[in-house]
Amino acid sequence: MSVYDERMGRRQALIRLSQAALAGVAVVGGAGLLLDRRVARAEGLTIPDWRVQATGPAAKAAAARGDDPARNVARALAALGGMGQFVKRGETVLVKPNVGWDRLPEQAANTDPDVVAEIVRQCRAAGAARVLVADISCNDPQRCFARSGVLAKAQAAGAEVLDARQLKLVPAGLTGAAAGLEVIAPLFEAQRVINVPVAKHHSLSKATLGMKNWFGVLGKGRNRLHQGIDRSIAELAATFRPTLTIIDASRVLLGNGPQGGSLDDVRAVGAICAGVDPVLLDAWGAAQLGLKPSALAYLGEAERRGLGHADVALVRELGKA
Amino acid sequence: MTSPPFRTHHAVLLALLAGVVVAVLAPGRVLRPEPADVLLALQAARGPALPPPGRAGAASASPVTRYGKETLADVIDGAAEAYLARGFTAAAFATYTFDRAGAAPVEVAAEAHRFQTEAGAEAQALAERPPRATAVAGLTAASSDGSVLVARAGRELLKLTLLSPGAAGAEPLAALASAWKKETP
Repeated sequence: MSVYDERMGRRQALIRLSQAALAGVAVVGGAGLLLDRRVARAEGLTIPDWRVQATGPAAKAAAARGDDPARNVARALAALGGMGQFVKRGETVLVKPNVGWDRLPEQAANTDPDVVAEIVRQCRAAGAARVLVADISCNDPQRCFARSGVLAKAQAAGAEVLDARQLKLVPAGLTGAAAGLEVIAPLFEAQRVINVPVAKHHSLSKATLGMKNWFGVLGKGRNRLHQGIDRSIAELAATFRPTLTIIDASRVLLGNGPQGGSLDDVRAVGAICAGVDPVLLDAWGAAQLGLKPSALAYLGEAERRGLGHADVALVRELGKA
Repeated sequence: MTSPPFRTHHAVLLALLAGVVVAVLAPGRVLRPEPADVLLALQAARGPALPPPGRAGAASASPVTRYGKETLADVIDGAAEAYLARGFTAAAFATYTFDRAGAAPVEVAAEAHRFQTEAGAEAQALAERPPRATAVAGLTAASSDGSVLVARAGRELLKLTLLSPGAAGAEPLAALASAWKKETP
C-alpha cells in the first residue's frame, strides 16, 4: 500500500500525521537547542564602556614635558581637571600598562614604572577602593614585571599587581578578528580602566601605542590578529573604551620593536600625554616617534569608525615644568 | 624423497637476494660516520641549540623554551612576521646569569633561531643588527653594540640581549656567542 493509496484509512492517516509531527518537533527543537548554545558561546560577557562624561571645558588631551615622569603624569592629569574627574570614591580601577617584555626601563619596551606608580597614587588619592595593574606579557610574566620595575613600584604605590599567572580569563563578546578570544577577568571587576602604553616602534603596525595595547588583555590566540593588523587594532579600539589613555613617551623605542633591546634604539623624550580621545592620543604618540598620524593605517580606520580625531593640534601642550 | 630440480628462476631469486645483502652491508662497511658528525646531526634534528651555561662561563640558565612557526609570536609578538617571511622554522630561548665578583650578576636573554636557508638567516641578522654595532673580535659573522649581539652560523641566527645595561656586558655576550658557535652545526 503506498502513501498515496486512496484506500488508506482514517486511523492510518492519523498515525502517519502523528509520526510526521513528532519528527518535525524533534528536528526543530534540536536545531533550536544547538543554535542557542552556539549564540551563547559567541556572545560571552559584554565589554563595559568605562568612559565618563566630561563635566567641564577641559581639553581632550594634555601633554606635559620634563625629566620627571611622575611629575609629567600629575601635570597632564591636572590639566584635564584632575583624576577626580574620572575616578570616584569606592571605585575599582584597572590600570593597563605595557609590561610585555623582559626588559629594563632603559630599554623602553615597557611602560615606565614611575608612570604606572604615579597613576596608581592618583587613583588612590581620588578615592579608588582598589587599583589593579594587569597585563598579559609576551615573555615570562614574572621576569617582565620584575625587570620592568612595575611590580615593585606599583605595589609600593598601593596597587594589586596581576601578571598572567594570576589573571583569570573569561569568554567575552568580542567581534571581528578577535571573536571567540577570552579576555582578562579584571576588566569586568573595574568601574574605570586606564590604558597606559609606552610609545614605541612595532615591526608590523609601525607603532604600538594605546589601541595596540589592548592585545595585552586578550588570551590565547591573539596572534591571529596580526593578520590584517590595522583593522584588528581599530576593532579593538571600538570594543575597549577606556576612561583615560595615558601615553608614556618618557623614553621611546624607535626601532626593533616591539621587544627592543639595544639602547641605541631608545630616545629620551621626557613627555606624557593624558586624555579621553584614544585616536588623538595615538596620533600624539606617533608624533613622538617621528611619525605622521597618516603613517599609521589603523588610525585612519579608527577615525572612520568615529572613535576620535587624529589632529595633534587638539592636544594642550603644557611644555616643561 | 628427491630434491626439486634447480631451475632458472631459482638462480634469479638467489641473485636478487645476494644483491640485497650486498646493498645492505656495503655502505655500513664503507661509510662509517664519525661520532662527532652523528652528534651534530642529532643536534640539528633536535632544533636550534643554546649552549649549556658552564660552556659559556655562565653560572646558570633558565630552562630552554622552544617555539615553532605557530608559536613564535607568543614570545616576540608582531616581530614574528618578519621572521616567518624570511623562512623561520624553529627557535630556542633562555636567560643566562653571569656572576661577577663584588657586583650584581649580569643577565643575558638568548634567542637561537633556525631558518630554511642561509640567506633567510643572513637577512634577519642584518635586520636585527643594532645601528651602531661593530664586528665582534674573534667571531665571524657577529656584531654587537655592547647591549645586543647578533651572530649567524649557516642557517642559524643567535640574538643576545643584555638585561643589565650599564654593566660590563661585552664579555658575557662574546663568551655566550663563542660557545654557541662551537655547538652549532
